Amino acid sequence: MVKADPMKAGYYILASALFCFTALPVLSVFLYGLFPLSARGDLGSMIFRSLPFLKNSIFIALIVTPASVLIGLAATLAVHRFSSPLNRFFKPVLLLSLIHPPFVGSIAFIMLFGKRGLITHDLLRLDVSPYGWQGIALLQFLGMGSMAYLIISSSVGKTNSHIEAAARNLGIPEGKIFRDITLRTMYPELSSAAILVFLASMADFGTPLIIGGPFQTLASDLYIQITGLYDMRSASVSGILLLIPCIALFTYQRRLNRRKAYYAMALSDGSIRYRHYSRPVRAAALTITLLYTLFIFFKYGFIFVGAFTEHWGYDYTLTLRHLVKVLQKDLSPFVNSVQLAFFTALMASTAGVFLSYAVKRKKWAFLTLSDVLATLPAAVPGILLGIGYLVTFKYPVLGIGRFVLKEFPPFILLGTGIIIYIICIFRYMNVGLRTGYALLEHINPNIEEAARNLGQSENRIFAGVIMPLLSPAFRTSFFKIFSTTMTTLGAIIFLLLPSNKVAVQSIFQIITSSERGVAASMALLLSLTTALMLGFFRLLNYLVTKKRL
Amino acid sequence: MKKIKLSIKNLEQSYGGIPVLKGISLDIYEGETLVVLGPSGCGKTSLLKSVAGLIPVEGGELVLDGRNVALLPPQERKTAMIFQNYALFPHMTVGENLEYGLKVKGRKEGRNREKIRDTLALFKLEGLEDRPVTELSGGQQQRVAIGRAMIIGPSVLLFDEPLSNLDENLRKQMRNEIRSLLRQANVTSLYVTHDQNEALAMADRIVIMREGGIEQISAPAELHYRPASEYVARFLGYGNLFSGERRNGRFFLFGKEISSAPESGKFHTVLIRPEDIGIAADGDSDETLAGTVADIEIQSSIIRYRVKTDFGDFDVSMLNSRGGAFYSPNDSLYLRLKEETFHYL
Repeated sequence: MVKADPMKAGYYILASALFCFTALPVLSVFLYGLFPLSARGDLGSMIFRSLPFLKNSIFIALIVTPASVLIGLAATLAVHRFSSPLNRFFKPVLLLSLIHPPFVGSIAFIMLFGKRGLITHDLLRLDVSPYGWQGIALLQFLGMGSMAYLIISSSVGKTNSHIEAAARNLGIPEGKIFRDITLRTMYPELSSAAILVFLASMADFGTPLIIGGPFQTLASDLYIQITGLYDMRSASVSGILLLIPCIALFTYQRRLNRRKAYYAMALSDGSIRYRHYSRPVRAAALTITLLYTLFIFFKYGFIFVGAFTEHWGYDYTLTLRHLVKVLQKDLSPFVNSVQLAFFTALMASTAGVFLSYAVKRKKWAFLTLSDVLATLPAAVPGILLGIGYLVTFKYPVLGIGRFVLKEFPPFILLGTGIIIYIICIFRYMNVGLRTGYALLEHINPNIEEAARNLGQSENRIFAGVIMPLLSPAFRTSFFKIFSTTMTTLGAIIFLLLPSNKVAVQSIFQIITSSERGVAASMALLLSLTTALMLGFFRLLNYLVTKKRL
Repeated sequence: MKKIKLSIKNLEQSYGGIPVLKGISLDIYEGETLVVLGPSGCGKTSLLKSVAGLIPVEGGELVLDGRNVALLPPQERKTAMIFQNYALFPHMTVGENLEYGLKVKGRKEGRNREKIRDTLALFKLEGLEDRPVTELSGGQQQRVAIGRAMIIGPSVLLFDEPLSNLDENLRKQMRNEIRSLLRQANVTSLYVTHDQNEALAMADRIVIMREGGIEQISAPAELHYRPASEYVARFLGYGNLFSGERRNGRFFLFGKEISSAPESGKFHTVLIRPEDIGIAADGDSDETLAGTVADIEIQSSIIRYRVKTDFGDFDVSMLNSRGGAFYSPNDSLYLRLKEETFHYL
């Protein structure tokens, strides 16, 4: 008799779910855009219509990517390689954007450069329109520089300071060491950051919508086509155009990561502060980081002022009016956000970490495919995954029903609260997967063999040995997914109902309706909620782990 | 008279207010291998890094080839270091690692090629020039690291525990290889280790460090037979240290008068080396100490006994020769001590 293996069964359920909730939606976008073939005639015109938007997207991404990577690099060097009293300021400011919805910077932008903006109107007495590509590029750059910093700074722990010392010792000048050794060994993280910033810039629809004016990108055009025109087919065609460069870059990055192996030999000895350094590099890194962090600091400062003054641009009297208005309103979007973030973090981390274990340590079927499917949503712009869900789950039987079950009374997932949870879980499972992989590299497989050798069953090994060892990966992933889901909008914007609105969506709607004081208050409240919840989970985690010790 | 290559004068250094080097002074002669030996935290790596210029010096001088280099950046010191974890450039091949230091020295391409070829041959790395360093074995990586340092022709080579990542057999083999390479090339080197066997095998002279200061500088044989202090003896792992006392002008050890003892000092610690003690099945109480075997350890060519006596435990080592006497735990025996082999600390 074959013994039941709950772990294996769990894996196969997860693998099937991955197929349904990541592969199918992405495929559906293609199917929906390209079929029926009879309508091919307008396919050409749809593509033709979308090309200028694609050009705009790439134009913005090409400006934002190098600028953000430069910031990420400068901040990494400033914070981790040079001792400076400014570090106390740099670190928290760089992390601020983690708990802020990405498009909130637009509020500050309009406050400064809008028709009644502090700089354009009050200081320079100009009557100019702030709307255009410059604002989009600036705001994306301000948000994504921090993201690039987080990715690039992860290279620091992997750098072996001795190899720089060795070069120094061989008589190599500092500038050449920086070029040949420091930058070269950071290459995997630099390219990862570049690719992820590029993808994030391509996927951002909020910033162009709010401050793009006539300049719209492919992602914002997608949003307009669905919410304004409800033209799903044309949206799918634009979606395909957006998807192709994203998937191509993402595949390239995966390949690049595989080649990273040689850095494993160069582990850090902990002391990576430069003692002898290239002075121009130091001065440049500190100046760039200082300017950047000041920018961010003021950006949030203005949002703060906007939240607590009567009417930006007209009346700067202090007031709690906006905050009171927010608090008097229905607070359920905040509750929904916390609930969504909590369950997504819990489920996506569990599934992701479990899958990482299965991929690395088991020999079950379709493991590579499951890995690719779980990682895929990291490449697909959120708004596009949302469209995928829209065109898949509008129809019965996971979307296939539209071809065969035309008259069948549908079981439709769309329009239920649960679909929001499903999309978030599958969108962020890759975070759990990646942290799981990172940890498993350091867990000796002999530990499992030792347990097996002592006569433990596979399930007991998983519960008693593997799970406790993987719990740090779970925790890291939980915190990350929680804060991301609190501020996410792209993937879920088309799937939300009035009954399950989330806070970010409310803020987005209020900004677009230009009630900026209220939007600023809500943004602050959301950041505060995220920070408080993260603090609470960390405290809980600390108390639990302390008790165990 | 031998020429001084590097003179370290009153070198001082501290970490966060805690002194790590307390006025170190020593000379290294041309072509000499000076090994710095000491436990973790004694300051030996700090000494090495100070010479390399990788950590700043707070006081004192470093005179290399007649020039004080203490305040110069590492690039201008003409020292080359071999790191514990090799610190090879992971993104370069063997050939590129070797070539990297030559590029800045402004040599001509053709001469560089020649030099790289010679180094590959000297270090038995022929055929590996285009191999990424990450694909080399530990021993090969070690050879590339030494080759990369030697190829630029430094005034002093600095070794930071270079063999500690290798297994026992490879370590012995590399020890011999490095020693013959250094002798062959007549290179001056400062070599840091915590392994006394490595130190004894590699060194022309050994410096024993303790808490940022120097405890003893001697040739290996001198250090082995005449440790300068109880600390050095204990660090070298010599367990047979016994206290003797002078009473009424006469020196007593194990309850007997010892005539060869130094004439001054009330107390002395006496070191008796394990190989200087004889073992006999019978003996008389005048010349021998009675004891029982507590433990036995066979180390290929020698047998080590731990013998319990009324005066404490003795380590005794005997040649492990075929047909020789062999004692088992709990056997009774007599230890024969020779006064002329006693070393007074």
